[in-house]
Amino acid sequence: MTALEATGLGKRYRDTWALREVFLSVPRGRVVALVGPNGAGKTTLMRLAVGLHRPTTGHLRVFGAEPYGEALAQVAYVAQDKPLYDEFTVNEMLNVGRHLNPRFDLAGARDRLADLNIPGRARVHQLSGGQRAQLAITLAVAKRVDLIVLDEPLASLDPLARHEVMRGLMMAVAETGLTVLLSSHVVAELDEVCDHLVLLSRGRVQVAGDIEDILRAHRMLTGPAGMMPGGAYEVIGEDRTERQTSLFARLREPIPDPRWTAHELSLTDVVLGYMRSPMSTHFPPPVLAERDDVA
Amino acid sequence: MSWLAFRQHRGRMIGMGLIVVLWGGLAGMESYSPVLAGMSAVFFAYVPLVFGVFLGAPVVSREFERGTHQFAWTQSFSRSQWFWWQAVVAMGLALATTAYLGTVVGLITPSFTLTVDSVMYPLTGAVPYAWGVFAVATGLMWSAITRWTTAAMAASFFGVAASQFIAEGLRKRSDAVSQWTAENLWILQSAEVEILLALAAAMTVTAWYFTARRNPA
Repeated sequence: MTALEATGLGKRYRDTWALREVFLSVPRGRVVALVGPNGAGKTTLMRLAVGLHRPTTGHLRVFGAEPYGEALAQVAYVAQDKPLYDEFTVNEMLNVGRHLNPRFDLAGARDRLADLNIPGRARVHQLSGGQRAQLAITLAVAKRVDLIVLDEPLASLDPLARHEVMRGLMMAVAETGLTVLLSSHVVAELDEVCDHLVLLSRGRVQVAGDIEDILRAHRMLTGPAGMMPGGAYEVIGEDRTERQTSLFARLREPIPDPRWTAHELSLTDVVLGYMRSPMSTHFPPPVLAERDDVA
Repeated sequence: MSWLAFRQHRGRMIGMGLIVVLWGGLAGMESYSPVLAGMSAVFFAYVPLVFGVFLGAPVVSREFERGTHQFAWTQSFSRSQWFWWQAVVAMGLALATTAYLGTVVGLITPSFTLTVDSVMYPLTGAVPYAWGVFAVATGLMWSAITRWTTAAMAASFFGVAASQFIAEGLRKRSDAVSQWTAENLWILQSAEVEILLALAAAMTVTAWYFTARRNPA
């Protein structure tokens, strides 16, 4: 079953389209990195996924249902600023969670906060940025949902807090097998935790698929200047100097020409490569269409 | 959902408690010095303004201003359920305060003749409750439309005040009404109550629509 499925999804604010003709299919259990330049539509997609917005065109289904009413019990959302009731105590926030969610795991949430040394009697506005993020994520995890949506969960956190937040989230994923959709514009820190990538560009999906497949398919080819290698590949970006040619390419098979060397790329390189050529016609990659049988 | 609504109204309950204390003091002063007689009844006209500004106007807009709507509306309950609980608690608080004030004023006011000009007119029967509900509904509507507490407070203040002036003009639009006694005045009062409740219902539904159906920012 697909965790998240968008068909012809579009969202317009007055005259501008924030999302357009988005087709997306995310299998259950993936940790999805939603990346893209500012204004690409990441937040809009996330808000659509948790029912805060309604699509202008098309549909977005979460585990087969549109995320309104009863289906809201299946998704949890942590917005970018971690909005919580500042005047409440931590215990009162847990009470809110318990009263507003029939499946709420109060004991689990208490344990987690105790592990993190977040005192129950502290008021939310007294918490540090990292603690606030931890509390917001704890509440989302304790809701016992199938999909957690996190908008820039690591923004405004120091490196140690980032690490702790990510570790806490990954523990929850390991325990429950939930699907996570998280956005960030710092791709480097998503590398280790995410296994699925969705790159948005100007309101459209530019790249989508399992990170392993994407990394396997893309290579940086370097070879003599003024030449192109033979073989089956598509060039996404290129850099030509007097001495050599560098091609950012998606390969269908290895390049046989020995004058060319193929370097493996990091996720950051791939994402940046696609971001630099937003008009590239190589999207979405064919992995999209093949996903259903895997799920 | 009710837990959150009650917890969020705790501060406002304390505010209403202050009104309760104020009126208790006022009533006490009146019973000792007859010069002040009728003050608590006269000041009652301002209470609906307080309801509109402090109970109605912050409800939806405070959530938008702090971003907490993104938390509250993504729990396991629908936005409609969230809204109706907030509305019910706010209106309940207004009704309870009105009931208390009505009782206090009733206790210290000796027998009176009800006329349309009497300060007791807005305090008898269902009229004060209808104004309480109407004021909260005005606040809710502006809160949901403007999504900005300060503007919603100002709009509710002037909205309720203007409605009070209009109501007063409508009540006294014929000389015959001035001669009416309690026997006939109930017709006027029930007409007033019905109009107020109908308007309150329309405004509350408007507030619901803007909360639950319009995209949040």
